[in-house]
Amino acid sequence: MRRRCGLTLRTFQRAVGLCTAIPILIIGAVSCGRVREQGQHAALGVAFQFGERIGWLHGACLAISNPNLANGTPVVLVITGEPQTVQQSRIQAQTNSPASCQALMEGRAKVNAKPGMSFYALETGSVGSTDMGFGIVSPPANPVVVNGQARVDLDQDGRSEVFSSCATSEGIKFAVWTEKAYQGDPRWSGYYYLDYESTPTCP
Amino acid sequence: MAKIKSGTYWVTWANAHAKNSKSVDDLVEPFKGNAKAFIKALENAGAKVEVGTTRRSDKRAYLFHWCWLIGLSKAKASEATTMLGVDIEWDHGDAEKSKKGAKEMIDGFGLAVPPNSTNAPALHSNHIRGKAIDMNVSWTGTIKIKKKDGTEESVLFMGNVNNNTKLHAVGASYGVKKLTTDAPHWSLDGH
Repeated sequence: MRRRCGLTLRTFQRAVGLCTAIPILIIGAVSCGRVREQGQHAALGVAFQFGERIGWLHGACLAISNPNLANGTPVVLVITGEPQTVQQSRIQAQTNSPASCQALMEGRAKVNAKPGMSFYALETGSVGSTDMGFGIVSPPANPVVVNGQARVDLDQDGRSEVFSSCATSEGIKFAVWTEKAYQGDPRWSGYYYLDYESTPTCP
Repeated sequence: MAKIKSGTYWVTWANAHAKNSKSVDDLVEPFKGNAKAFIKALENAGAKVEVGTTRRSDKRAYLFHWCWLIGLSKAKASEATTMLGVDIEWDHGDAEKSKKGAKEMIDGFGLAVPPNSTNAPALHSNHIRGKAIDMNVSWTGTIKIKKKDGTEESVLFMGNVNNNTKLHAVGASYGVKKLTTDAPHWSLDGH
């Protein structure tokens, strides 16, 4: 590098350009390394934002505290039931229509559409109108179903998150837990108001 | 009068003739007076109160209950009870057709089917009896709310109303008790 930088006057300008470019490239490479490192941390889930990346669904409509999901964003669905099932979907469009979101039907909307909550129509695929469950926006890995229960390590801490839902008197309570449902504090929870009553099943 | 078979017709019918009320005046005494006094105390203190459902239609509840059971094959159409003023024919004379008609209603009403639940939408409840109210209550910071005995309680706003025990105590002083599993729900006995 020294020899190249110490060349004739004629090549001086070119050499200066090259010598300037090399440190810039080095800085750039280091920066890229940092970006990659940060990306790895994100991929490792250090900053997995449960609140913004998990929502609940009824039929092909996702309710989530995130107003910024672009059309086409991948969403992995965990459909509750026995066994739980996993489906791939995408954001179709943000909506406030009760025709595409049962959670926004008359009598329900006032409670479900609380400030900060957004609703998205999903690509329907094989989502049934009575299916309920969770939508995970771009999860770091796909959930796998083990013994009827979907599991995925969302925050990449080496422990799997699991999913539960149960009926309250007037709605459905959704929750995400680490390793075992109803043990400790949930990592995330959501409430779906139904505007009718049934016998609760929540423990 | 000839009965009309179960199906989407009844969703339209219920949305016209069996709607839930959003009026506090449709509640029954003494809960109605208690709820009004509690809401007045909240508003006087600076809270915003948005009343949702008050008295629920028993006819609507009846339709919810039986379409859920029949549509999910948890009851036979022939087992459905009748209700005065709701001339629905649950039994189409064919099990699959009866189920299909009921399922159309499940979809139309947007009924939920929680996993493992064998509990149909209720036929009886405090809402149906006029003894419950669903409402959102919000304010900023801390407000002083008068209890029924005239004393004031300083209450900090909490995003999760189910955790706001001070607010629950104020409501209870009026005979309006919080159900802590469902954010908007208050009733005469907390159920």
